Amino acid sequence: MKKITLAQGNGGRETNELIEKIFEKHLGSFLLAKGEDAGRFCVPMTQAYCVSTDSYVVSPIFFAGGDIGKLSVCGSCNDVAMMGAKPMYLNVGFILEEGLEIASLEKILHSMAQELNHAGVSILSADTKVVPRGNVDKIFINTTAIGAVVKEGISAKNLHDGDVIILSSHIGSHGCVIFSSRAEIDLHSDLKSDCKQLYPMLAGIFETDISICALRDATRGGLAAVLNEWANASGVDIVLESEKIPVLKEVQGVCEILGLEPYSLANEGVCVLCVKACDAKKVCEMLQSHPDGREAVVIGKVQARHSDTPRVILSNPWGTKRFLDMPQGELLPRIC
Amino acid sequence: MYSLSAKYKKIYTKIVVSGIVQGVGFRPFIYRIAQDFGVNGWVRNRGGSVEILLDSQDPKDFITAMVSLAPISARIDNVRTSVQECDESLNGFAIIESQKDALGLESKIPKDMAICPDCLKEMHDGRDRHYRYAFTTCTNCGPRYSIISSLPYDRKNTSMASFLMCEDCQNEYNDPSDRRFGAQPNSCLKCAIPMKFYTAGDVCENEPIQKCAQAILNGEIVAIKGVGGFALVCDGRNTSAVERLREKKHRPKKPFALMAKDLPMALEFVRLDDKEISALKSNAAPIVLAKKKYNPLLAPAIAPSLDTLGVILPYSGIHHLLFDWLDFPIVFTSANVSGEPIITSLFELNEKLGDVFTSVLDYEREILHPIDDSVMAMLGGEMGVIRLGRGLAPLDIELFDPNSTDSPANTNACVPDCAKQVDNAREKSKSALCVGMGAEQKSSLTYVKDNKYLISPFIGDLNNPASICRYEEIFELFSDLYALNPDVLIHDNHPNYHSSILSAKKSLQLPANRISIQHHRAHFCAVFAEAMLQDKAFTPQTKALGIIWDGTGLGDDGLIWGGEVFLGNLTTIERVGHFETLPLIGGEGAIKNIYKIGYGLALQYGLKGLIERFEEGLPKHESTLLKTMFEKNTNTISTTSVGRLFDGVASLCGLLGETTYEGEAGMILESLANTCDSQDCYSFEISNDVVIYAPMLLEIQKDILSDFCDGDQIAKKMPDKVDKNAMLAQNLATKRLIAKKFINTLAQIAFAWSEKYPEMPVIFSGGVFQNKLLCERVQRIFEKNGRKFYMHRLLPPNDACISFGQAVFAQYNAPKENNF
Repeated sequence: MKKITLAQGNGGRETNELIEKIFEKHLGSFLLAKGEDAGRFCVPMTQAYCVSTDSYVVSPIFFAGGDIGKLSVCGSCNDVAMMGAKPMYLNVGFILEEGLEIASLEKILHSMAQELNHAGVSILSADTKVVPRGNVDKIFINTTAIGAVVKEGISAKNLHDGDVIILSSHIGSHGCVIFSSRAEIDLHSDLKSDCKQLYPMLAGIFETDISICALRDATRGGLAAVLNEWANASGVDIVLESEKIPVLKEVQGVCEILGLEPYSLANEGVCVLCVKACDAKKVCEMLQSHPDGREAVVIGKVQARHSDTPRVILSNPWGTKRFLDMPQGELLPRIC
Repeated sequence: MYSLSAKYKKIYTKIVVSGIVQGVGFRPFIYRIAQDFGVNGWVRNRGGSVEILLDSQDPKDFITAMVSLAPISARIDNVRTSVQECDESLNGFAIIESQKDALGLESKIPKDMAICPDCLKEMHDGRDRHYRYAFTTCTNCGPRYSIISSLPYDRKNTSMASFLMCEDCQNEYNDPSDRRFGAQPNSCLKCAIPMKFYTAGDVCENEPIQKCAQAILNGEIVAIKGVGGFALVCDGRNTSAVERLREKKHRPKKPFALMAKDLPMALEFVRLDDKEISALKSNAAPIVLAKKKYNPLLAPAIAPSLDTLGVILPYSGIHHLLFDWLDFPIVFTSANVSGEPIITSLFELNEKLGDVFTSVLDYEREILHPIDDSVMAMLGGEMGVIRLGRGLAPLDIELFDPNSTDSPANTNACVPDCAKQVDNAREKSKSALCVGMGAEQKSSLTYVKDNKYLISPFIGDLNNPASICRYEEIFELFSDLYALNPDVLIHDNHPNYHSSILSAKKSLQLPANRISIQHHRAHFCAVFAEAMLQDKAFTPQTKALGIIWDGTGLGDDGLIWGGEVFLGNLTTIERVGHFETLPLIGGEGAIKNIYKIGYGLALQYGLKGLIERFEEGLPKHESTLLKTMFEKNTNTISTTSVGRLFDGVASLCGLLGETTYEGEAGMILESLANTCDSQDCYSFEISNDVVIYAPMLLEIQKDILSDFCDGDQIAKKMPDKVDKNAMLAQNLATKRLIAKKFINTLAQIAFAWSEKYPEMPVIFSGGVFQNKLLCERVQRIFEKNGRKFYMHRLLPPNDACISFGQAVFAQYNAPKENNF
């Protein structure tokens, strides 16, 4: 077996061979429903759960700092973690393109296994399909994460005047890496995607009685999208201090040349928290005590909105303020 | 029975005058001529108009006198008469209480005027009550729009409301024969508006202006509250003060304006012709951009690398009194954070610019409507407006459409030539109130109803909260003043302009219809309407050729336009030509980092010698990245913009790698070109309606590379990318020649377009036509060839005219019915 064939999708012998030899080799130890039609799990009556599903179609499938497999586990697990939950189970669906290198598939499954192991997450149910060449781009993965809610009360509608915005890490690395490789631009740098699981970093805070007003990972649309969604959902202004927002020098440099805005670039392992001002220091310290949160920092605050349109405002050290708008699909210049 | 009752009725004539007739001493003037004619009746402000009742059945002579003798600041647009019967008889002539009324757009908001010679004389007369009183004013001068809260223009509707007049002032105010009759901001030393001079830790109410002058003499940066907001001021000779101001305001190179004590002092620093002098001395008192004279006294940092300088004369009593102590010009710049509106309150000043100045001259009357100084310049043989501000705005314009149903013939008034008649029938048929929402930068708002336009002052760039607030305030103000709800909002096609986003939102809230127009077509409509005002033969149906060149605007095809040629009129506007596209590598960022435009041009046209220069100058990984992006078309936007072509040429010549203010490249090229006499042009062709400028770029490359040896040596000494860029064409004479030939070529391209349409009048709009030299070249070529051309005279050619153009388009194209 070197490449995926259509026959491996027929449900017969070839399929079983693929599953046994390739998939189970990597994921077998995480599978709860080996050989059964459905995965079974028990739920205590008092425990709230949350579920999030997402499909991963990233191109390229391998990038500096990660691959589509790692992304598919981190992405859905992060989504449930953002609801204050500990990721427990994952359902996975694979759609493979005829001709996909088995070696590539194994590499992807291997990194999924690493992430599952890291998070202590089991697979409830998994599925594989093969489609003719050209019907998908190499491999698509759908994952659904199920998490047990540890921290209640998190919502995008919870922001109030005086609350504080905290960012867990530097932004833009993932988006920068993906943009460059898609555009076949060689960055000549060590820049890596920030793709990682966020629950381990947040677990400590979830266990305390500190209330978290809002929490979200800054994925597509980046920091700008998260904060604009929050401002709109809560009907408030959010004022950021641009010099406080950590951006790696390489990312800043590349963004300037490419004409990208770090605030709008996707991240896969960075989250934004909104907490009460009195809790800000404690939350920062707790984040900083985890290796993934060393750079955690207060980047701004929530204000009562000054017009009837909620806005995100970026202010620089010499007092110039500008709107940080919701990222738009096309980058059309507005200035003369 | 009938004849009996008729005996008891008296016949009166009612005259309603609209235009600029409030806040300009119009009622006392009417009072005086009524006395001269010996007629009985009364006059009053009603809404924004003046209403007169006369016991005469034939007011012809009265109206003629009124039109010919009207106060200098008044402007009569409409005179309507009607016959009235009245039971009572009137004895004598009186000025009676104003009547508030639902206003039409013919009600004008009075504009702020520079202090008049009469008031100045009193201010300097030791025996006068107004001796050295900074707020001396009369009906012929002083603040208006900036202090008005609602119409009609009465003291209670201004920020003077809280100040009580002393007996003397009240007497003048009440006396119809006095020039302060009804002068709303009237006050004197006895009932003075308190003024204070703040220094670190001290407040001084005694001789604040003298202390302020002393601070300027000491080299300090001082904030002074003027008519429309605060200005930052320092000694124009003091290089360190000017440089400190630049550093603290984070404004490295954008030129500052200079305020001179008087015209003779101004003439020591700039060359001015008669038209420029009369603009400078007009009661709008704008900043006039004029040719700099070499004067060693002046700090070089005021307008670095430019041969133009903005000058302004004192326009408020404060400035005049300040110059009693100063015999040198002062740097005079709006107090604002870059891109934000001018600051009007001490609180905001301290909060936003607290570290910029060391002392403040403040007074207690509130500025209700902030307004920047206007800026004017000679553009193609006449004075044009670059920034519509104090003294010029709110600007009101009425377009008259000779082909529409209302014609001046069917009215019963005696109408002066300049005044236009409003037809009753049309007035009754309610047309929609449309609002032009403007562009993103240099935003403004225009309200129009029945072809009467009201254009707001320049607001600023809409990318920040302070500008949006001001924008919304003006939107509210105009709606409130006229007690009208907009029916149609018209905005730019660019979906991400904040004005477009607000338009969408407001159209739901109001509710109102929403339409949009392409950016450069709005420019076309704006200058088309101005052509109609300049030339009676120009009608909405006239076919004209529009040459619209600017920086950036979203085109129909999703590309960025800015070098467009249109054919049409107010209802059909067809794009018939444009410049070939150039690449903006990395999108919007290239507009600041113009070396990306220069490099992009070099790559696109294979300018090998210049490509080498760029690649030597830029860090290796950057040039490789930019080249890859160009080749793969990654994040690279195509544009036909002439503004960007200016940037590109400036970069190719090594003049500038990054711009620090809008239009910098164009202004530097213009300044260089001004010192070169060459009439030569570069080669170009118009092929399939596209301007092909590749030949020009090859010739520019040749000119640049003729300086080869020079540049190479300097390159070794300057590793920095921008400075290394600067070595590309070392020889100043060569740069001047290239700049001049480039601008000559653009004028020639404009003429070449006009030759393709020999029958058409040509209209010009877009920010590129703020370039004095280009306008002058266009004027020369067009006049020499006997071609008719029209440029903006009332509105700026830049994006500040967009809201007006949008409103004009809406007036002629928007559906009249509301169907939400």
